[in-house]
Amino acid sequence: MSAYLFDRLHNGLGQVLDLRYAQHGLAASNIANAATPGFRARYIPFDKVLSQAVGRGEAVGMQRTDSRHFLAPGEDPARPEIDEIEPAPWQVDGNSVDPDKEVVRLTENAVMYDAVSTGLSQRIAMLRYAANNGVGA
Amino acid sequence: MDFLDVFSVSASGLTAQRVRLQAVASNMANARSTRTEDGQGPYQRKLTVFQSESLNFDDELGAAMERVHVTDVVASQEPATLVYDPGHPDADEDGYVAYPNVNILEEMVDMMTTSRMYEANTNVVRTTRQLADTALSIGR
Amino acid sequence: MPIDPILPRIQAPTVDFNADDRRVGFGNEFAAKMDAALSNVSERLNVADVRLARVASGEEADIHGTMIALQEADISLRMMVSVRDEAVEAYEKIMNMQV
Repeated sequence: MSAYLFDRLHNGLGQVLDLRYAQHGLAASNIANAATPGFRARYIPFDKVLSQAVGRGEAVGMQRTDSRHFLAPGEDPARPEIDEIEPAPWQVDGNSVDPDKEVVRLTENAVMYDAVSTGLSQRIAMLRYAANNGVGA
Repeated sequence: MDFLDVFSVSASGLTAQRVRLQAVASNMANARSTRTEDGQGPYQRKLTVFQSESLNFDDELGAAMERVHVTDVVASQEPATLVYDPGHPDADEDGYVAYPNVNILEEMVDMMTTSRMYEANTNVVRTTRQLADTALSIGR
Repeated sequence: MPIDPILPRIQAPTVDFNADDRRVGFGNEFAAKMDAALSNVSERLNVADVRLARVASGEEADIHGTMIALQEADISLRMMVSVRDEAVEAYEKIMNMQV
């Protein structure tokens, strides 16, 4: 029964949240190591990892598509692809962290996490309302 | 990886930056100290050595996330600045006084950089808290 | 889309035993209105889903528009349920009338 209640979009949103959260962790690590010699800044390349399939007019039958339609082919949500930034020539200690860039990345990512989380929450609330046969908040 | 992991990463950053700030403060306070307690000559600039360490090796993400540690606080091996001042109580037989190898301007830049990094880390802690709050309110 | 109030539009219940659909109806007009309302809710839910998916995949950055679409879907759903409840209540009232 639950296979029909919690559709593919529900699972897909959960996976996006996992990825956004992993990105947050990497940004936190980058900022903590902003002064560590030889440390390479790391991030998840979202434009590579997330596929753009959603926007291609798949409004009808969305619920029937694979839960992984959010992810580019070959991407495993549990093991995200992680890219490293090479240090610029002027970063003499081999540390490639730009603290300002990392803070921006962190903030942007937090907003997207919030948006997806809120959307997911809203869907769950509607489902709960329907499951309670229209009773309750 | 969970919220506690992220907090511990940021905490390590905060600690490391605080130790570095202490070293900078010590350097600035002692920029003109021509003698130290152990009598071995002028104050030597303190440097902090940072090293990163992976959170865990369970998966790529755990390996990619790293805490930072201050492994050592060392004395800079740069030579002392010699100033000719024969009347000074710490002058050597040639009349030179050895002043600490501390460059005030460099220390001030370090101080500003370090406090901005400290702030960035507190920013991360705050944002992590917000994410946790958002996650906790899913479905509420 | 405004949902017309039900009570003024209720006609006498008709039972057509020759009809394939043995529904005791309040008139085809009401049924048509309900269908239209259902489609509307369904459409809004779909739109909300698509928009949320687009935000999640990073294609669309219009967060507030998407949140509003979600709320609209939610409100339409509740309105629909409310209409259903009213319809059921009205039906029961009529069925309990002493004729």
